[in-house]
This record gives sequence, structure tokens and C-alpha cells, in this order.
Amino acid sequence: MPKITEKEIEYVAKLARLELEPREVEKMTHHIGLLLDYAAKLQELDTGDIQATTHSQDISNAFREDVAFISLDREAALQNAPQQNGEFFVVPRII
Amino acid sequence: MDLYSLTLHEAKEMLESGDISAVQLTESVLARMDAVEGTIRAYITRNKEGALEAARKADSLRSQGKAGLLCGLPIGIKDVLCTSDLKTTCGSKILENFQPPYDATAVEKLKKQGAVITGKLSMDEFAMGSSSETCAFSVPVNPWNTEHVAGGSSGGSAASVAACECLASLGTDTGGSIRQPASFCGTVGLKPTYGRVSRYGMIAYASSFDQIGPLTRDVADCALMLRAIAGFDPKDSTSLNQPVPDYSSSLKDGLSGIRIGVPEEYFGLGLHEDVNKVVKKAIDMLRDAGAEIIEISLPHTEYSLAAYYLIAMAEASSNLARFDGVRFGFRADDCSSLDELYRRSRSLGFGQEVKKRILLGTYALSSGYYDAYYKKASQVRSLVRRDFKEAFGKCDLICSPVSPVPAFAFGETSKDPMAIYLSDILTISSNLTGIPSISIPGGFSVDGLPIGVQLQGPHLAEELLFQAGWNLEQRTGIKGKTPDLTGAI
Repeated sequence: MPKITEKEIEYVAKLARLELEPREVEKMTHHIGLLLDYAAKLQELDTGDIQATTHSQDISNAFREDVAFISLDREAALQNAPQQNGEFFVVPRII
Repeated sequence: MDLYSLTLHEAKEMLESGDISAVQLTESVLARMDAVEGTIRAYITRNKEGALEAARKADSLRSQGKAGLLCGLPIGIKDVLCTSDLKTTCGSKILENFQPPYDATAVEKLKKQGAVITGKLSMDEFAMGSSSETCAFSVPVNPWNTEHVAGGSSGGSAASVAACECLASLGTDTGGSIRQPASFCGTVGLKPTYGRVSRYGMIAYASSFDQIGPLTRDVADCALMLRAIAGFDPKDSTSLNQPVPDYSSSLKDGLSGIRIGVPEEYFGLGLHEDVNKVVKKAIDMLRDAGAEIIEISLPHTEYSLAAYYLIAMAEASSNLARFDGVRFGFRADDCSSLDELYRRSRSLGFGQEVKKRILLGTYALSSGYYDAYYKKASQVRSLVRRDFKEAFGKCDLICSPVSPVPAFAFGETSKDPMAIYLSDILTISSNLTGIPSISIPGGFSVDGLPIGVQLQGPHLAEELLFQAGWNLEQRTGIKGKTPDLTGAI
């Protein structure tokens, strides 16, 4: 697989909502390149018809009775907000 | 004997017989904390007032005949678990002032059993690391040699138990984060079966691997702690609805009829000679206890690490999207748009290692690369599971080293960015497969650093791990050995 480029790191950073300094882009490209080189090892294995494992236990959906219960009250839910008005989280103007 | 150096079960007996009070025990631990914490740096937040108050309450409950399983016992909590009365930083600047509105289920269970919470323990930022050096606050040192790391990510959980700054602690293990620091600091550390302990209130790193477990001074304490925290929780949809046995009853002498597999792949290149010696000796001790030792093979071991990191980072990139400066945590000032607020809050709040893992995880999940990385890794995860399934057809437990090397010196791993990842090779398979795994102190390196022995078992085989671990512990001749910290006081 071709080596990951600085441009790709910048693109991925944008997707992940991260801003990187130019020297960070350089360092991340190098470090992530090393990790991806190492991960290339997996391509040696033929995994054609192997089912992917996303969960280590053989459990599927976990259902519960659909009953109402008391959840976190508003004050507690807002207590850690950097900015709130007693009812809502406040963010910069969107539209 | 100083009360702070007691095991949980010793202290419990003394509390039950009325020889000591919970307040006396807690005062001893807090005084020890004052004496050594300047050197050990195991805590991010200490809970002195709260601990004394809880101890007084514990004494009162005991006098009323209402003592729980852990009544009056001082226990520390890794700072990744939410606590309603103590801030929870996850070792990150982005959560520096986060005060959770509720307790994690494991913490709630400890409190319900009367435990005295001593504080919140240091860790790698968001549990991402193997040395606790990525912590944004206090980086713990190894109590056996302060120029070496305590391990990670649950470094504070291991260092605090080894340095007697609490009697036991809770850690979390995503790829070895309980077992490796336990091995480095000479404590017992258990990663339970995935789903055995509720993850509710644990700040998620890689949700399909994360598991909470105890770090303790001996196996009996570990069994006691697991009994207190295990069990089904409707708030964690992956928690297992299985009865919780009295784990303490599995601590019995002898291992006859038990087959212990030794995987050749775990003794390969890069294994430190002292580690090899200690583990080989431990295998002889298990044989002496009556176990049958057989050679086994786990052929996909060399691929497991790459699969592990791709999946863990992919899951992390998704889990850490919640830190956006809106509902909790750090927010950058003077942002004119919502997107700028997300970007700047995250960029200023996260450290380098966390950013790296988010970037790689995002890349592995991104369009065009998903099949080559995330899907491929998840398929290889199936192959690793198959290896273990086949191995457990031939043996009941697997014995190996925990880490290929004893505790690294500070800064040692910074020269080679891959080295610290590679050192997780022997612990990550338990997380890929969800099986329980324990680290038992086995001996010391020539330089005096502790070396742990790892036992892995099939799903829900914790009792067998305790039985074998306890038998090993009786034979190593190092039980009760503690680091000399007189220089630190």
C-alpha cells in the first residue's frame, strides 16, 4: 500500500475535527506511516470468507422492557457545560 | 505492622474482630500517602476528607451489624471511572474540571459494600499508552525503582497498591492496561471476562475491548474485589447476565487434573532473559502444584497486535467524538462558528498520543480504506479467536509472560515510536477474544524490577485463574514483599 501523505493526514484531521500545526502534520504523518507499515502485515493473511468479529461474546441485541424511568435531571445534565442558560447548552450562532 | 501495608482480607479480619477501626486504617493509609506521594505521584485527585467521612460511616455501619463485603477498606479508583463526588479527568486536559453527575456502576458497587474511596489514580491520557507518561497531570513512578515507569495505562492503580497508598484499586484494561502495570509494579491484576463487570460510567476508549478489573496485593484480595464489582447491569448492554460466584472459595491447594498450555509464540524474539527465567520457573511451580503442562500453539499471535491497534484506534476515533466543547469539558475561547469551536476545543484539549490514535482510527474507517484496515483487522480478530478456541480444546489455562520486558526506564520508549506498541503483544489477545486474564507476581529481574506471570482462561473461567494464581503465589516465595521506600520519605 502507498505511504500515507501529509495531504491525507490533513484530510483525516478535518474529518476528525482536529487542527494540526505544520510540525504536527509532519510528525503524525511519520508516526502513522510507521503504524500502517506495521499493519500491512495483515495483508499476508488470506481472510476471504472469514466472518469479521466485532464483539467477543456471542450476544446480539439486549432488550429491556419499554418502561419510563427517571433520568438525569436537567440541572445535573447541564452542570458541566462550558456555557448554558439553565435550559440548553449554548453554542456559537449556527445560522 | 503498619496498617497501610495490610491486604484487604487481613484488614477485613481485623476490622471484623474489632482490633482496628476503619478510621484508624484510613488514617494510616492517608499518612502513608502524605509520606510517599511526592515521589510516587500515583494520584490525580486525593480524597482525604471524603475518605475519613466514609471511614466513620463504615465504623458506624459495622457497629450496627450492617458491614458490607468491603466495609471500611481504603480503595483507589483509576481516573477513567466516573465518581459523583470527585472530579474525573481521564488524565486529559480536556476533562480537567469534569465533575460527573453519577458514579460508574463498579464504583457504586464498591461504595455499596462500604469501601472507603481514597482518590482518583493517575493514568495515560484516555488510557492510551503503556507507561502512564501521556498523563496530562501526575505521571506515576515505579515504587521499586523510581527511574522506571509504573506501566500503563493503569499506572497509578498499580503504583498506589505497591506503594501502600491504598489497599487495592480499580483499573481498566483495553490491551493490557491492568496486567502490564501490575506486572511492572509487582501486584496482582485481573482483566475479567468481557461483560463480567459493567462498563457503565467508564469513559470509553475501545468499547469492544474495555474491561474494569482489580489490582491487589494478593490473589485472595483480587477474588474479593471481583465478587464486589461483577454482575449484570441493565445500564451496560454488553454486560453478562450470569451469576457471580463466591470467588474466594476457589482458593484451594493443588492443581491436579488442570492442563496448562504454554504457547511457543509467546517466548519468541525480544523476550527479556530475566522474564523468560521467571516465567519458566513459574511453570515448574504450577507443575509442582499438580498441573499438567502441555505445549500449545497460537499461530496468529504475530498478527494480533496490528489487528488490535487498528480496531482499538477505530473505536477510539468514534468514542472520542463526544469531546467537542459543548456538553462537558474544555472549550476554546472566542470561536465564531460551531465547527471552529469543535476543532479548537479538541485540538487544544487532547494530547499528542490521543490525536494520533484518533487520526489513525479515522483513517482506518474512512472511505476507501475501511476494507483494507478495519474490516481486515476484524477478520483477523476472528482468526485469533479461533486460535484460542482450539487451544482451550487442549488445555484449561494458558501460561505466559505478561510483558516481554520488565518496567521501562523513563523516556526509554520515546526513541522508537513503535517500541511501546510492540510491548503489548502478549496481553492484547485476551482483549481481542474477551477472555479473562490475570497477572501474578512471579519474581524479579536481576536489577530488582518485578516480573509478572500471565494466566489466561476461557470465558468466565475466573475461578480457575484464581485457583492457579493462588497456587503459584504460595510457591514463589515473594508474597508480601514490598518496595523499600525509606528514601522517598
